[in-house]
Amino acid sequence: MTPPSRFRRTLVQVMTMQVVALAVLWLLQSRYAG
Amino acid sequence: MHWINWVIVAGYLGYVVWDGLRRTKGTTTIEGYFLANRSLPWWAVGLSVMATQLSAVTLIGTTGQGATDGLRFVQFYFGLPVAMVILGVTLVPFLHGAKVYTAYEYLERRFDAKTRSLTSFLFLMSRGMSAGTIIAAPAVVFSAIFGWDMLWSVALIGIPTVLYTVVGGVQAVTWADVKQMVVIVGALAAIVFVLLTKLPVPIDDALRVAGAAGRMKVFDFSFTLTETYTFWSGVLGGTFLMLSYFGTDQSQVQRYLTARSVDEARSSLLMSAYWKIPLQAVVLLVGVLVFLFYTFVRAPLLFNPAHEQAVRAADPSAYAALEAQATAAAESRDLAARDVSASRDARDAVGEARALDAFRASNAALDSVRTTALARAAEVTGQSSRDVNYIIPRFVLDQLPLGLAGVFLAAVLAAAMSSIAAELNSLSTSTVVDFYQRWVKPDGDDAHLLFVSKLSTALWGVFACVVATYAATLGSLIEVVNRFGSFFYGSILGVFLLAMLPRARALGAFVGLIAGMSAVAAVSFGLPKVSFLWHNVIGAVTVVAVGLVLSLGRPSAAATSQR
Repeated sequence: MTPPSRFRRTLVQVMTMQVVALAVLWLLQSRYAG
Repeated sequence: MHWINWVIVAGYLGYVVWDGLRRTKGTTTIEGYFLANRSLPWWAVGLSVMATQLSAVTLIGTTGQGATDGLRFVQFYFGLPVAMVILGVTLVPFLHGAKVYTAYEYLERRFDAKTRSLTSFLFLMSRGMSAGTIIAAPAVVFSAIFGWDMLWSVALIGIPTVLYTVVGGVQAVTWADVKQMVVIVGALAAIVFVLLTKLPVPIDDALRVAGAAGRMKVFDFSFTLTETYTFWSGVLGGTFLMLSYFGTDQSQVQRYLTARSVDEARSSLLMSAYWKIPLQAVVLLVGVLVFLFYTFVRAPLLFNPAHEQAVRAADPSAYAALEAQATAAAESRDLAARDVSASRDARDAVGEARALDAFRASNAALDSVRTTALARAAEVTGQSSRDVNYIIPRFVLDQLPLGLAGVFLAAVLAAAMSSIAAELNSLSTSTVVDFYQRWVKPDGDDAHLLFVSKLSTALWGVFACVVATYAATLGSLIEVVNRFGSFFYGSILGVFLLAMLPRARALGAFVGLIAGMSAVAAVSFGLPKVSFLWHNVIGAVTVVAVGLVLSLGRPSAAATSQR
């Protein structure tokens, strides 16, 4: 795998995890902080 | 504290030291002592990276911040995952592939010796002092809680750490970090479990109450340069801060230089990219749960027992009056919180809204009494009251079941020790490799350099312990050094960014570094005033801009030879 494609794949994986983490935090905030 | 808790703490300390002392394998050369012969697996390095960043302040201060300020501090880490991915494809292959011992060594190969020496010197100056503050922060809390002399608290943390770091080198540091992360995560999980079982209302209702007190607000999308914790400062400023910390700070760079390969070094950083935000959210959530616990159980007015005694002794009747006001406010807050739960049970939306209003009013009243008490404490003791740092220790000692308090105390020691050990190890590496070997004894054999390395680690350890012991006296000096440290963090990142640009030249890097530090100093002391998270952006951008302008024209010899 070439470095740019590896970078893209890793970036997508890491950002997916972060989107999930931020979505959970967003749900917590919208359910309880209102 | 019960003797069984002390046995747990002593057993843990004994085990860490014993395990560190037996890990002297491969430490007959300085490559073994400082880099474990570049042989460590990614998961051990990854846990070590996380343990180094997670200090005792995280377990004591950040959980306390969760109790008083809620979850919004987690925004500080929003830039970390992106920074880790960027480092994985930029600096990590550069530094690991160059087979260097220190990040600054690479700068001599790319630019010149003075750029290397200046960046390494700046690292030694700021990190040398911060190693002392990392010991001092938990030591101050231990002294206040247990009534110990500061010297004993510093000795409890400092002596075992210095011992295993001096003898075992980076192998001992890394493998101790792995165990320390297990203890820290285990203690946090156990505390979350205990807190959930101690709440008298369902967790869904309790979190609604926490939300009414502002503890469940995570995101702040306002774009203001003076506000520290916003979504944008976390994503943009945080990315630059994390790039600087993980990419150019030797205490972190040295962790992943010990990995077997570039790929394993990358993977070790990605562990933080995946888990740092969830872990930090859990740390803050512990604080929120402690806030909820003290909503239903009477909390002390001041959590710092030394300050509580001092304020009470100074004017007993005034303090008793404050305590009576606090008790009245806490009782009505407790009732209102239980009303919220009862109304939700009865599906009474109007009753719930009324109960939440009553909760907010009594919570504000309690906050007001507490603010008055904190101001009295500051007046009486002459010290700024860091009461937030005592919330979790008091909760742990007063409320946790037998044994678990010992585990938590061991976890605090583990967090402190893992950060200090990495600092000492990296301070020694920079001292020996960037200065002693570079300028004093370039032809020193391994045995001699290994001896000097151990001696240097021990001396930095003693220095850190002395700084920690006199932290209160040295308070303003430490603040100045820490503030000065923030001037060059982003600027050093700028030099490394320049190093990756083929046209950049040594003169541009050196002058750019000074220009970057000056720019950060200007926004720190002058106008416009901006929050510290933006300092790294300003420093890095200034260095790259000035460095590139001064490098216009003929490419550097180093760049030409690299092509």
